[in-house]
Amino acid sequence: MTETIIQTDGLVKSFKGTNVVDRVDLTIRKGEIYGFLGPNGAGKTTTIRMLLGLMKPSAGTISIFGKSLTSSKIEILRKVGSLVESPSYYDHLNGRENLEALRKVLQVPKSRIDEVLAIVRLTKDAHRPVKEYSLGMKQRLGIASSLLGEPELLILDEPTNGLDPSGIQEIRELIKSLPEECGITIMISSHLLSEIEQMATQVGIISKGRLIYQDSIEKLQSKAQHRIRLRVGNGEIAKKKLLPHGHVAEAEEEYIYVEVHHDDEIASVVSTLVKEKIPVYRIEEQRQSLEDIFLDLTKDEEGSYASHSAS
Amino acid sequence: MLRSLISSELLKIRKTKVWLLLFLSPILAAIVGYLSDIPSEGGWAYLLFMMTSSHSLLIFPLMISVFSGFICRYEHQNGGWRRMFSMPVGRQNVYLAKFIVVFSLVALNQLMFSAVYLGMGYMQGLEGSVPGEILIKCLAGGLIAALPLIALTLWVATIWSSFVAPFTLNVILTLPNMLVANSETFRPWYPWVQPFMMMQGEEDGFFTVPAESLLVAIGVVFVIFYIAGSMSIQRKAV
Amino acid sequence: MLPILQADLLKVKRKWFWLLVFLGPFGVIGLQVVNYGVRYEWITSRTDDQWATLIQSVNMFVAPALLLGMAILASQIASIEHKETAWKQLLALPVKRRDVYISKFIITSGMIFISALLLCIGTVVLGIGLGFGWNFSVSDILKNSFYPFFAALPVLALQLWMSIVQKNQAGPLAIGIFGAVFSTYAHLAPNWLIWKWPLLYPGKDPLPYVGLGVLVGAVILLAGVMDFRRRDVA
Repeated sequence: MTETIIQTDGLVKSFKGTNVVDRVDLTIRKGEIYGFLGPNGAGKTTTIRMLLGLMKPSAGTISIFGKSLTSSKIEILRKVGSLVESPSYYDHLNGRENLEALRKVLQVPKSRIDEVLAIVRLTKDAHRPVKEYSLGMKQRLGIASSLLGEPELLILDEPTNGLDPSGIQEIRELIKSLPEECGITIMISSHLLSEIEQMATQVGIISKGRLIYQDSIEKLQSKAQHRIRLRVGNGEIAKKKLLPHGHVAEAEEEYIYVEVHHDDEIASVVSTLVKEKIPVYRIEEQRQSLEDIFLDLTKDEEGSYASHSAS
Repeated sequence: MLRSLISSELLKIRKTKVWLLLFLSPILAAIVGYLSDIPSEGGWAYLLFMMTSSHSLLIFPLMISVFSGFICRYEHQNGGWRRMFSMPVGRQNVYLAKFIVVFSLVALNQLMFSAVYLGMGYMQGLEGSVPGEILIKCLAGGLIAALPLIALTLWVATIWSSFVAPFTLNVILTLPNMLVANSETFRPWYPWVQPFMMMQGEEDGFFTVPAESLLVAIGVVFVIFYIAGSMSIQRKAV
Repeated sequence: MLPILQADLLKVKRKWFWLLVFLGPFGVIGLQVVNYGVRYEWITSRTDDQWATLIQSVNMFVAPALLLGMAILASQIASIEHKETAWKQLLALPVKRRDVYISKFIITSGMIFISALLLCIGTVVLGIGLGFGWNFSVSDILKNSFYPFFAALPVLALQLWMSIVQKNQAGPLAIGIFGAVFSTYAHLAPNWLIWKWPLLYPGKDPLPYVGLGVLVGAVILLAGVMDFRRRDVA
């Protein structure tokens, strides 16, 4: 079993009596890209703020690198890089000076600034004041800041927010490359499953402050049901004819749906239909997308709200 | 349109703490009124003199820039101006609405001041009658003299997104009041000291300045600042 | 501590409020230039000790200018981090909140210290320019600038506290105005009010207020640190 980097135990944060984060037990292991997923307002950012010591938990404990955050905060933060929500910057300074202001505190060699600027490809614009930067550039500067201290753990809160597709692609590639190249563990939050799906190895889903799912992305995908849809002209007749042969189907107008776990089953269904003189026009596999699973998971908690914010 | 703009402005400031700021200068006046040794003869006039000078020399012109800054602050955040100007409203009306709201805040402040004055007077058990006419002249005079300052601070507050910058400018220009108030040549023309001049009252005041020439000076300065401000907002790129 | 200070120094680079550090003393001296320019004869005829009168005239503006300057600078130093929500980035670094807070205080008081020094130089230049000769008391001029500076440290600590914990600067500034204006009337007020301390009276020993200023300033600073440490950062 690999080393655990982040472990929270019954983490709670309440504002004015409501639990914004409610008994969350996160486990993040070394080398993972942990996707922290949830609709807007589910408690992602509050959780992350607590992990960074910006907010104090109302209850529960946080341990990072095996140490308690309350007792060893400085020691832990020295090994953590972060980007929380909107990028933070000093807009009257240029890109390099912004990093320099952080470097002085982190006390890493000056050459590190050039390295991180190169990683996020801002070397050319480093001398320009940040107020002239586009949103994507500010976000890249934010990622550069988070990498400055050569962190072992990177916590990124919605890092692709507000970026255009090519910017998103760029940041995604960058994030995927980090664990391989530098052995960094990454926690990345998003409200978009498609986003997380392309990067993460582990997923935690939070909804209304509760962690409702936490496992590998493959496990989440295997939850998807496989259904076969057949276009048969008259679904009701087909359904009735199939039943005596031991095949349960659902009918809907000219379609029937069957749940199959094995290819032989589908062969049997088709041969039965052919024998019963029912035309089969089309056979399709219908996989429930991760998006649907995500919606199903959060729907129980949220009602209709999740379907809006997660799509 | 102007009316709906004003009510929209009022809505925007309703949940802020601007109301608390209205209390500052009356509190100061109350402290000064409470601490002064009032002569038995002409007590009301003396109290008015003490309280208006503490109110009008520094804190009154300083608070005006805080009000102006406040009324523009939320527009500078998160693209408020952009949203405002992309609505079907004239920029001049936006400016005028903000001007009227600041003016109302100042007027409210003046009313609170006079309430404190009366309260202090009765509390100290002053003899004689309240100099009603002088009090009203004093309040109205202060309000009139506030017009150029409102126009100027609003102008600067629409240009600079920083809240502190216009405030600082106003501080730098208000502090000389302590000297200018003594100078007969400069004081009618110095906008920051005009409220002080106007609130001195004509007969009982320490300084006597012909009210007409003062009013002309105030009017000229006001027109210049207001036009400058409204031109600036018309051209403002958002 | 030192690295944070260096970082803070970098952050105040190219900020307009440096101008204030010069403009403050320059303005106070400038007002006396005007004052003497308008009524030189009248002022100089009323006194034997021209330097003492000059120092007293300068002093009239020191307390309100100092207090307003403190309010503005404290607000600006805090605004650097309020703007674009830089607090969360700064405090997620391996730094002690105490150090972050104290560093802001050191930077602000350092800027005002420079202003006080410039005021001394300005006073000397003005006096010599007005032809009062070279026979002046250096210690009186230093006292005129630095006694109020130290006596006003509690106000600075208070302004900084308010400005750091609150994003909207209207409140802290309005209270700053109140304190500064109040100080001009404070000779009537009880002695325990910190806004009264930077006032100097001829013939009264101001030294206790200097000591008290440093002491109470430190206490308020400490209270601010404690409060800042337990706050959630949004």
